[in-house]
Amino acid sequence: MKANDVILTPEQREKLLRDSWISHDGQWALKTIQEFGFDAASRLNQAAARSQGKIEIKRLMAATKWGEIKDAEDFKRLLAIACDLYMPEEHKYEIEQFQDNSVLGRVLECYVYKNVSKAGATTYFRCAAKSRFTSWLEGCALKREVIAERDMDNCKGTCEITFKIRW
Amino acid sequence: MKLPEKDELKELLVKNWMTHDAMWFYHSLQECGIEKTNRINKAAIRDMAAIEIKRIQKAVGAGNFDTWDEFKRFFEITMGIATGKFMNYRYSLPARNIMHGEWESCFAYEGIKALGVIDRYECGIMLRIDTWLDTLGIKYEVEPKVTGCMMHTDGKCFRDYRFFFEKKSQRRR
Repeated sequence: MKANDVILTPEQREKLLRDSWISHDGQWALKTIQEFGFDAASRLNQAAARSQGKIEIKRLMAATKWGEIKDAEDFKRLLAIACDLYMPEEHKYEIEQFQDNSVLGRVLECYVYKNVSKAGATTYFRCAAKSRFTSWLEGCALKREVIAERDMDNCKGTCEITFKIRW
Repeated sequence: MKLPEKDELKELLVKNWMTHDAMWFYHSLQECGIEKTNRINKAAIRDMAAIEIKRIQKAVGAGNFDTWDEFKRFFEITMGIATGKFMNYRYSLPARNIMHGEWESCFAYEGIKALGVIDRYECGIMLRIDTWLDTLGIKYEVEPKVTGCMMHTDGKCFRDYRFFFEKKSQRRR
């Protein structure tokens, strides 16, 4: 490596940060599993996601000067920006809005499932997506319900997460 | 609505990453106490930091570091990627093989103090840096050697690193 020949784009830098964040989260889970088993690790993972979620969405809203979320369309746009920023490239998903004003996140390839699957732990480890997204809605000060019917042991890396919000 | 600038996005990612880490620490502390939480925290940092530094090394196309100048440049790039403004640190590389780092305040110290366990907390911040160096196979000595929190015990925090890169040999004609 020569002294002045390295230029990382902001996108490369963000990818490195996002990937290390995910690795760190994964290492907390793994070390907790090794120390206390899957039940405790799943419980702590969900609690951490729940505590973290509202903070990360509030920070994003502050950084974007979002203001109050007025309707489902507005929430869908925020969800798209948040997922783009916080989820890694290999997480494939679509976001739809329905006539009843609910918003659906359809996960086509889940990065968490992929990592847990590599560790051979999908039977034992619980998904924290519902905790994180419920917390996002709390952070957005929306009256809500998040419906996610699948878990790690039956999702095969795909799922549908519905945000039912009372406007 | 305004989309954040690139540096704001980086700051947002680093802050949220550190908050997520803090939430794991907090909930682990509630579940199993400070001793086991220290052990899990440090094990997670070690394995994460080893992966992290290899990724950065690959992304910037760096090989092994044979000279102080190569290492110095890489370390500056790494700190630029991996740290946020809120971390309030300063570091300098004032002479060949010498690095000094110091903290005016420390987000980890403030957070753990708020949890009421700062007297038994074992620092993970410096462990991350030491793991980078170990993973890169760089020989170094560091003073002072501190396991706990220096900000708590001394009201300030610093480290002096000494490296052992040899002066690049001059080619003879």
